Amino acid sequence: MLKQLEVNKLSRKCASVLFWAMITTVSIFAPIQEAQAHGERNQEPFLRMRTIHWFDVEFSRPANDVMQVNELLTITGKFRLFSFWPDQLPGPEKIYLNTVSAGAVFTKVESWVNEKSAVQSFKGQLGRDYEFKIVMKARWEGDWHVHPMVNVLDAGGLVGPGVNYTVEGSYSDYRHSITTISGLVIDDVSTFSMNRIYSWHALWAVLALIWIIWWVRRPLLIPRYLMNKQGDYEDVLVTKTDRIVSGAFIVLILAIIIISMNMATSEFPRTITLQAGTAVIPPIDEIPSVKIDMKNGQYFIPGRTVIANMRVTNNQDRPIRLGEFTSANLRFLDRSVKGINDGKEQNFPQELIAKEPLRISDNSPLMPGESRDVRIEATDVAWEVERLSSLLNDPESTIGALLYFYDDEGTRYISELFGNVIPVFKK
Amino acid sequence: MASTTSEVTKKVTEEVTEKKSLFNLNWVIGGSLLVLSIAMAARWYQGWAAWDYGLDSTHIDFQTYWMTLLYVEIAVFSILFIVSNVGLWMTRDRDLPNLDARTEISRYMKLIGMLFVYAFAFVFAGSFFAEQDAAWHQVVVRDTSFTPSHIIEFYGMFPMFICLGFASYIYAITRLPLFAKNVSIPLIIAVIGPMMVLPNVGYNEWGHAFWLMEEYFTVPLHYGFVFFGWSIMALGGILVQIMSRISVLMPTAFHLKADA
Amino acid sequence: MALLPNQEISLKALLIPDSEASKFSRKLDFLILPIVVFAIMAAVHIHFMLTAGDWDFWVDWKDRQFWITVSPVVLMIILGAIQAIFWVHFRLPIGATVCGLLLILGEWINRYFGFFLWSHFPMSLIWPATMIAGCMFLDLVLGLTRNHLMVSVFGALGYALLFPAANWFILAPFRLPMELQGSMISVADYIGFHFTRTATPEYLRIIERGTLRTFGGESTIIAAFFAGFLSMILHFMWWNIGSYISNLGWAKTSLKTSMGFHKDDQVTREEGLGGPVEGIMGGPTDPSEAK
Repeated sequence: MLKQLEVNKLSRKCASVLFWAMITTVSIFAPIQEAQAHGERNQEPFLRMRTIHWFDVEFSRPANDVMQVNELLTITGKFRLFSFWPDQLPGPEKIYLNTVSAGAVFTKVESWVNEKSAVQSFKGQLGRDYEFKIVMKARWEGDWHVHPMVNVLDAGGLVGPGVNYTVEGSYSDYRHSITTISGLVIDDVSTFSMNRIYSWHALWAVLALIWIIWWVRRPLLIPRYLMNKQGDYEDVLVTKTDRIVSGAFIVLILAIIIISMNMATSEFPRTITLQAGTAVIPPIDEIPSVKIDMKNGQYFIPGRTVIANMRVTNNQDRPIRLGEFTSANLRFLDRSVKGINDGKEQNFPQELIAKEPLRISDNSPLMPGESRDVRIEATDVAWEVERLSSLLNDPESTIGALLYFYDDEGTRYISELFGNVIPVFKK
Repeated sequence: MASTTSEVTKKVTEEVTEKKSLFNLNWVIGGSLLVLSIAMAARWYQGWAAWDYGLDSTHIDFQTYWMTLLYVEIAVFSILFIVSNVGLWMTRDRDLPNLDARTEISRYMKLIGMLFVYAFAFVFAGSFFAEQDAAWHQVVVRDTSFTPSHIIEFYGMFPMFICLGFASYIYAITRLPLFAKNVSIPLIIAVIGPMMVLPNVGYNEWGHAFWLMEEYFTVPLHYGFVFFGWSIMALGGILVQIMSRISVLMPTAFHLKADA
Repeated sequence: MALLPNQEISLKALLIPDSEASKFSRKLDFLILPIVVFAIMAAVHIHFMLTAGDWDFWVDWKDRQFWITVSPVVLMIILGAIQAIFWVHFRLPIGATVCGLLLILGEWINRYFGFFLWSHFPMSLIWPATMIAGCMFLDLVLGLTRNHLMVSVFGALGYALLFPAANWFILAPFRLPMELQGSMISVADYIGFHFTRTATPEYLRIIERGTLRTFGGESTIIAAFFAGFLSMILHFMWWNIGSYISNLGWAKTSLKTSMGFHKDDQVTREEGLGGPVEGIMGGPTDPSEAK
């Protein structure tokens, strides 16, 4: 076949192949640059504002910290399953505490909700809070944005705030060892039993190739087509030897299977099935709240401002002030309020904290039993960056948020804000 | 009555008057290398650009590195589709009834060569980049129909093999007498069937946008791809048609005679 | 079925070793073989990945119930058809083996380049199951009996039963029990928990559902026999579908006049039909038979 090709043409083609092979090989080891968000910005605002609210999220390492492969990171915090969950979405009948670091570049070592094991999924209750703790381990070198996330059955993943970390080292140095109940120590779960699997697959591939070559070594297509069509060549097409070989192969295959099963059973006498149960995790005790009733809201597009008018009633026994408005991981603070925590010490991503303070029409202390009409304005370019301004495209023009009130002792009360919002296009 | 090679009693004499080879593998090797190069380049690009710029479709870099590629792919393959098929049609053989046997066989070899490259391209579209999509969906939160995986798979590899398939079909009906006289149903199936996976993407994205939030791979929503993927097996039917025709042409092409 | 006179002459030439005809034919074999490899690899792989893929991608989906049943049953759809194509026209009992081998090849390539190198999942999470033993069994029964009904009855049953049997050797280590955070789970469950998948939360796994009555721990065997029953039916159905598809012929066209033919010219038997000219598309029946 090759004699028809001119040598120089062949050389050019070989060079082309080698060039691309080299490019591919080199670029597998190309340095990775900073990663971005993971797609949550394109989730609709109603999804991010009215489903899960994350709060008190703390990362054990500061943002942009450099970690080595095998080092640990702990994320703790709480999340609220919003009472005004959208009707279009299935409710949190089954939820799972997960992480987003873009796949398995960070692994999960521990996963707890309300100090109960969150290895399995569990049922969530709307309007209630859950406290979580995840311990992660750095596995693959690169720059990664790491978030906690809750997956909700049939609704998808709802992502929490994320922090960027740089992992140095090599994934080939990753080690995570476990011990089974029978005492077998597995040095590294990422490569466990792989030699056995490669060998087994290779064995079957060789047997398959032998069987195929047994047939392909003879003249194949046109001769067999014609002989078959002619009809008198049945014993030429499949000879007696072929049939004996078929029978022998059957015996061989069955013998290999039976022997291998016995070997596996004697080597691993105690095995269990995959575990498909669910966890039962009740929410934490209800966090006290202040009564609010949203009258109306606007989104002022040119100024990137969300405005909400509401009536606040102090149903607690100490005077309160509004300290924070938070929605879709964005936080707007009135730092003059006692008890406010911007999360800096907890390594909360500061880019999610609005640069402008939360403007409140009257944030003087509200006495117990009093009611007041309050207007708040939350302004930040983050509304656009986080694509929350695309609520114009939502089938429902509503917002959901948490409001943090603080009393004179710094105790926090969390209320849910929900209501319609009208866009304002002009200045 | 059964007979074996050794029991053939009629002597067949062959007079070979032409030395010209019936095989021209330049198309096969060149086309395959081109497909392989494109696939390797695509995989190389995905290897870094997907991580660096492909995780967040709202980011400006995504527009630069991925949406630009999408627009280039649409433009290039649209132009290629039109140019190749119109070109093949315009250069058609207008005197097919008088085609000699040896030339016809050499054209069958060319058609087989085109189907070779077509099937090779389908490996990347149906196997390599397809299952990779499952891997990428496990890494990201789906935020748009145009992911780094989809841009290469649906809008790169699919159009590539569609161009090759259609070119094979136009070549067949304009260069080969039997394929000109009648429509080969296996060939139609083998070309149109896999082509339909591209419109099926519309159905797929509709389902993912409005109904299916979870990233199962084995859901009925994806069965359209399965169904149209089956149609590549019609290549078997084409093979039967080609075997049958070539075996009729061979005595003339190779000057075979059955001695009395 | 008789050959045409030209085909008889061709056959006799092809049976002479080293004749120009047989050399040409052998070269053609080696040109077409890669096409067969590529087409089958792509078709079988895309079929299997979208019908049983999740169970095959992840070690913590390989349960006693769905994985055991779904994998062999959905693969049989395409196995039956391809095995038929190889046998009906060429008497080659290698169709199923070729499918199994190429499927595994495609899967390994993808697990390495896609799941591991690109998406960074470890091999212990993503190794594919082996299908080859059952696929070979299907072909070997065909080669031994030369009867596709025997394959549908005995071959297909054995094919399904051999699936869990052939995979136990490599799956057993992943079913070892361990303790995590106060619960007992298997090593496979742990690997799924530990190596996070953004879009596959734990609840997504379609495993171990229903009443889960195990009748003394025989779930795997029950699932395998159920798979066997379905495989028998599907093999028979898809064998016939595969034969039918590979025998499809020709339909009408009006473009022929652009290539110098008359509008009434049709392919004839004498030209080597390889399938009837018939009415699928509303065309005429074989004109040579009508005469």
